[in-house]
Amino acid sequence: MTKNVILRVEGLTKKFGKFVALENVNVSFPEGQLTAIIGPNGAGKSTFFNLISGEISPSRGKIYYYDRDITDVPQYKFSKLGIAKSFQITNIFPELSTLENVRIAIQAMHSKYQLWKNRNELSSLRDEAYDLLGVVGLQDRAKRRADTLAHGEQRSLEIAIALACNPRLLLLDEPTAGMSPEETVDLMDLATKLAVDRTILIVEHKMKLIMGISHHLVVFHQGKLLAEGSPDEVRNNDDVKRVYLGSR
Amino acid sequence: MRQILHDWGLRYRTIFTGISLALLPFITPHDALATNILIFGLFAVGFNLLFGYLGLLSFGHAAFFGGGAYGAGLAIAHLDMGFLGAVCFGVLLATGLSIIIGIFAIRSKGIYFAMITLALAQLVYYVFFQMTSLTGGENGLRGITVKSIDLGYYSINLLNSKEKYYFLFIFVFLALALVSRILKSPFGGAIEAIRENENRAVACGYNVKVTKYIAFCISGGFCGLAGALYALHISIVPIDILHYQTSGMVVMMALLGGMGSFFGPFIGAAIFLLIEDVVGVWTSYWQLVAGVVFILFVLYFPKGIWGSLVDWARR
Repeated sequence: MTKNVILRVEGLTKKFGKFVALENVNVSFPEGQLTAIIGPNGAGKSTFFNLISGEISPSRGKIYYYDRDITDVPQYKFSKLGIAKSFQITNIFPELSTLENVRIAIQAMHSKYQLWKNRNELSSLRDEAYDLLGVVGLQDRAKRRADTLAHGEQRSLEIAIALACNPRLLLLDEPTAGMSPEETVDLMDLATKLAVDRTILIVEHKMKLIMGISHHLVVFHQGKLLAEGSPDEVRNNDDVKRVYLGSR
Repeated sequence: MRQILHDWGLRYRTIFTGISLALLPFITPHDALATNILIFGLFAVGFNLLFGYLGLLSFGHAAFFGGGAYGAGLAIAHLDMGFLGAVCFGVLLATGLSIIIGIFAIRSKGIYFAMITLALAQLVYYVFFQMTSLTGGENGLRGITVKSIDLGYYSINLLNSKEKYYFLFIFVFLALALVSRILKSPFGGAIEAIRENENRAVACGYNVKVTKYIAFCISGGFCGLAGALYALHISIVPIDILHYQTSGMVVMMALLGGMGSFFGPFIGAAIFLLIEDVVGVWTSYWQLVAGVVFILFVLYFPKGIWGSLVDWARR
């Protein structure tokens, strides 16, 4: 079965001064799958994530989204393209209400520079935001200020914000960081649910959990692509065993 | 109860501010002080749009206040315009200055933004200082008195301090209604989102630079309106109005009253001008008192007078 490729990188390289964080990576991600990016600390996962989410630009190489070169597209245009992300460190609008956090993100898709209308009367945006809070299970927190939510709730809110642009490609950078085991399981369930009708790319440390839910794995080691394939293939890969799994 | 107070305050902020300002001349010891509070309050509101709502600290807003004042003054002195024309010309000049200064300033952040706005505003100061034939140089622009405004069936006597106050009040009130409207708009939501978390706002799809730039120009326009009204109020444009002390003063006003609140800037302007008015009678070192009050507020009430009250209400 051949699948469409949603994201493809060619010769992707990132240097910080003399330090090579990522070297000549070629990899493509099939559409409609949940792909996990794994690797030990310093393997280049975060650099790779920041490159494909437009946060930083590569020293060399190209990034293609559905065969469109997006290497030089400014980051704020990504959401319109259908690429959304959640950050490694909780990144919400702390002093706004939970509902407003999502509403403002939906608004970015519609009327950014509208100076005249009352934004609270744009009820379709509010309803849409409320529905999204339902997806991540935060509807009863809608009126609370975002910074008063528990850590796990804030992480869920962040995913709701990312979902606001109705992305085809959702990038999640260690979404379970700092979460309790119960919250982690909930979030993985959510990721599985979301993966039904969109592509998800997830950077994760918690190996057992991620092996269980992902269709495809990409392993980095010391700035290079080490292996890729199905969870079983990766689990049985000798290189991977040596540098990563074996060390546990 | 507090929550209701807070929600009502938010919904009816323009009307509340309007009523307070309409009563102001009956509270202050003399009408000139009330007029100053009215005008500098609007200046601080315009400044606060950028400082409190977007989170950008500009040290160059003297250029827009002064630009508005000079625009109005020049329109009367050299172009023979009337009151309305002068106000429009002042706003246009100030907005024009903010469009130009904004191009250079908006790409920088934090302390760099403050320094670039400061430097460019000082540049404006020296340009106006040097253009003596047009601006009067260090003597300021004189001879711009507008004595009355003929409305056909009624003539407003601007030499009567009460009539002048309520005439200027109309402009300030309309401007406040507009500011409130903008803050409630989707654009207003976007600037608050950028203040709260710029990275997240970018990831959501907001073009942060363009949004900041538009807000900068809007802020400049409102400060220009305040400046134009000030020129018509005191019938002269002193060159000091463009000096960085004016920029510093508006920062103090916004902080004293409470940045990020709608009514706060008026409280800040009132406190500052009251100190000048009351202490200034005893000693020419009134700024010493203003400075001490300012330091105490920054240390113990960083949200300002009104900002602290709003916080209490929504707790």
